[in-house]
Amino acid sequence: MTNGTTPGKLKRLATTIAGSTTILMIGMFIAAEAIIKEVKPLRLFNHTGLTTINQNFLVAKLPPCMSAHENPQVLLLGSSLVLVPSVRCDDDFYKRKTRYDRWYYRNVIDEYTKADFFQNELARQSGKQRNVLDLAVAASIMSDQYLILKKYLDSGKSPEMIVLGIAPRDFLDNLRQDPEKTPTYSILADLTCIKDLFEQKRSKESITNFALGYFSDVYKNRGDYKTFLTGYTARVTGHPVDLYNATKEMEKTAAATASVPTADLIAEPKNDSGVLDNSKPIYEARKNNLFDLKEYRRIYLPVNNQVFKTQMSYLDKFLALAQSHEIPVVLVEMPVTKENLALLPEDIKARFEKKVAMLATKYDAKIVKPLDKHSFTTEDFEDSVHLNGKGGTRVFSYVAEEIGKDRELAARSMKNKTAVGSLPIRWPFQ
Amino acid sequence: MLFTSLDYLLFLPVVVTLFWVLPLKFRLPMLLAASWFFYMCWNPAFILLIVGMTAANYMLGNILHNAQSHRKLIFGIGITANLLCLGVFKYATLFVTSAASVVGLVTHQTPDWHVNIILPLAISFFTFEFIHYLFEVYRGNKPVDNFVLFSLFAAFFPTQIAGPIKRYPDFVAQMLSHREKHPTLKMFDEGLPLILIGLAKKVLFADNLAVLVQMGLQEPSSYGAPELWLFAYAFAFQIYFDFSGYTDIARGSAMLFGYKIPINFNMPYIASNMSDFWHRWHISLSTWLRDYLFIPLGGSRGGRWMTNRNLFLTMALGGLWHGASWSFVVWGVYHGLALIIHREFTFIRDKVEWLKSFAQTKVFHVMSLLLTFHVVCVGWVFFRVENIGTAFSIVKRMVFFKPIYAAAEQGQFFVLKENMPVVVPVVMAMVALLLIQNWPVSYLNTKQYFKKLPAPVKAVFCTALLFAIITFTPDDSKPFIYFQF
Repeated sequence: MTNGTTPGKLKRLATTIAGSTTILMIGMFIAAEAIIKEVKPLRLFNHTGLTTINQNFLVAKLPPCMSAHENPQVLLLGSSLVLVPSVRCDDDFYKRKTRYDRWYYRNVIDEYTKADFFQNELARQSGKQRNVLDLAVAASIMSDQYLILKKYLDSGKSPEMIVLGIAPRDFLDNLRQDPEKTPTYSILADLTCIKDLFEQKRSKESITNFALGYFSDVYKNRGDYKTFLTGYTARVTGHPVDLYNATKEMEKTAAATASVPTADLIAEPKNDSGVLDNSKPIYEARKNNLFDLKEYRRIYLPVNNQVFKTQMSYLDKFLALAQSHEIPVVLVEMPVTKENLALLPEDIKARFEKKVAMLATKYDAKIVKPLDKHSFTTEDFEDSVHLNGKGGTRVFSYVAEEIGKDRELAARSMKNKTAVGSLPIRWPFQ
Repeated sequence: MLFTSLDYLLFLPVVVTLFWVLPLKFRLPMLLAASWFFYMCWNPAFILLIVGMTAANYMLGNILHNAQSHRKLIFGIGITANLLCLGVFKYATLFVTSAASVVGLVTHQTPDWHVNIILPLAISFFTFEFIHYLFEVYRGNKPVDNFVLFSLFAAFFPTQIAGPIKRYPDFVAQMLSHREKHPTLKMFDEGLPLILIGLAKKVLFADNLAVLVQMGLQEPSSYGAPELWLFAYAFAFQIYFDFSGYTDIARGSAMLFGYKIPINFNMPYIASNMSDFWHRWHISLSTWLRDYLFIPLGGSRGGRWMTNRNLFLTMALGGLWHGASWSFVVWGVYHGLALIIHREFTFIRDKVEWLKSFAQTKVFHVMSLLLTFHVVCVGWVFFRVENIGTAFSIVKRMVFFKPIYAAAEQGQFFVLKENMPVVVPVVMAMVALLLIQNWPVSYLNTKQYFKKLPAPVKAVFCTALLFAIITFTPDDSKPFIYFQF
């Protein structure tokens, strides 16, 4: 009798499922989510140059480094002010031809995790071989550095020393005011351990986002999909993708009309379909006309004191975190051109110096100021803030020299035992 | 709590589950408690207002029903009390500032009179529902004998904030019928797609169009006629997607409780005249205005001119209902005049033979469709722009079309293109599509094409919609436009 009714029941069940939009939709959603998680469809469009796999190409290097088994002794952190010169120095160091086009920025510089020249200098100056991991992220701010360090330490790794390059822009970026809206936050907040949810006071929205992101890969990476789709639409329609790019295009048009050189430092050779073209490399740096000053005026002014205060509190947290793990920190005040510095009100410069010095004293961090030893001219920069190979060489050599001759720092860094391997950051119930 | 918020995403499933899990006698009280909680999420103190007005109208309804004499007086007191509440909370500021302006005109010194009253959420909607209730009881219909059910009629959370304006006999009948019902898959199969469609209308279209409209309003004087028309089109579709999206979510949410809300929109932008437009736009309001304002004023019983007067008054007051601002009155008056013109035109049309036969042609139909759409768009300018002077200057520039407007020489279209990268082509495509959709969409709608689709096809559509919503939902979704009323 059971045999007679079971097929009937199954048939009825199948009919119910096949006839219900709700059940089918839930099933399709779960299946699509599983496929998307596995296939990562945006990778299929990598050739378009529009994909921002793992949220953003700027931060794509972070997750693999976090879960890698290597445990380098020196962690190099900072923004593009650290990242760009470290690539240029390595290019010079290995006698590689460096490039000045967008493709190179996107595919080499943004994803670069080495600092071999600096590593070599460190070994030479201190007589000890240490591996350096370069986790500097372009367009990052101080809160991002804190998050990167926290996640890095949470992953089970423990460096002997942290070198953090800072500049006023890390604390005063009007374009990136909200610590929870940066690419770094987007990618690393999703790597949250459950204890983070309880340790930090997080908004209801943040917790809900985390929960939804956990259940839906598309939700978690919706920024990627949106960026790709709007980027593609913008390309097809010939419109800039957002207000920022629109403003830049208008500036470009205005500059072209006035017959002045374009404000863009990085050239963007594109093929006929508008895709970044790797077959047209640009090996020669443009003359440094400090055209990015206009953008930096927008970044700095008007000075937002609340942002400054918040970002300084993250430097405080950063140093406290490193101290709690007994990792010495070297704060490098990255040089910028005097024209760039002149954009800042005097009181802000003074507050920046004072606050950094105060925090360094509080947490026993070492401050290195390359400007104390060298004077830098526009010849040392690619624009108003990014050092070129020449300027970078002088900075990294000086930093290595300062670290090498600081015996106390060397002793403190030796105390820190190197952890072996790493713990991948995962949801604890997974 | 916005329908588009994550809070609602949690609230709705919890309430639906509780509703069907609880024993029958607890379902309505639970739904009422949830609806009052929903209201309190905005401002807890104002729960006293909605509960107070509910209790008063419940008692008045019963008194009216049982009264042997003075029924007209009791009815009058009830209507006056409701209108007084609405007047105090919604229009006091307008009356006081307007009075100050009038005094200022006479004495050449405007007094600094002002009142500070918070407009309670949804007051316009539940007051109209109470007025409808008293009217129907006065006309001899049976009142609701269950206070919980009556309270739920006013507070039912899917329709609480922005309607549709319900009719109590239908609501009560449906709410009581669930006593014999268990949740069925059909409820979810009909409700969930509607919620998704509503969400898509709101977050994919309305919220993105809002950016364009906002840009146009920031400095309207710097735009020429083509841009201003574009902004008007954009707002026309923004408000349609916003309000009909809200209604779809409301209807879908209500369906999960086994309650079917009648439609509030029926493709309004394919209306071929203004009368047709009001049969398709905010249907629950237009039928309310017809039943409880136009007809009591005399309707069309008093001849041609009296009918026009009643039409004019109904639309002017209907405009005022939308908000405490003279620009809404102007919008209502504009629609009243447009309806009168259409009515007069039909009299002329019926008398002139060639016009009568021309009116039967497709060319006439397309022309009237385009004309109606543009007349409605001009009306939206008064609806959206708070300052009447600015609204008139925008309309003047739109109507007296100057293709080479001074600002256009500076490349306004270029600015538009640069600032609104994706929206502009999308809007243009949408306007074109929606205008030419007349026949196919009407056909599909008449045939109830979506309903007849096989479940797997509908599921694919809904899943795709769900992914689109997830991807394109802005982080800060804007409140529904009709929430302010």
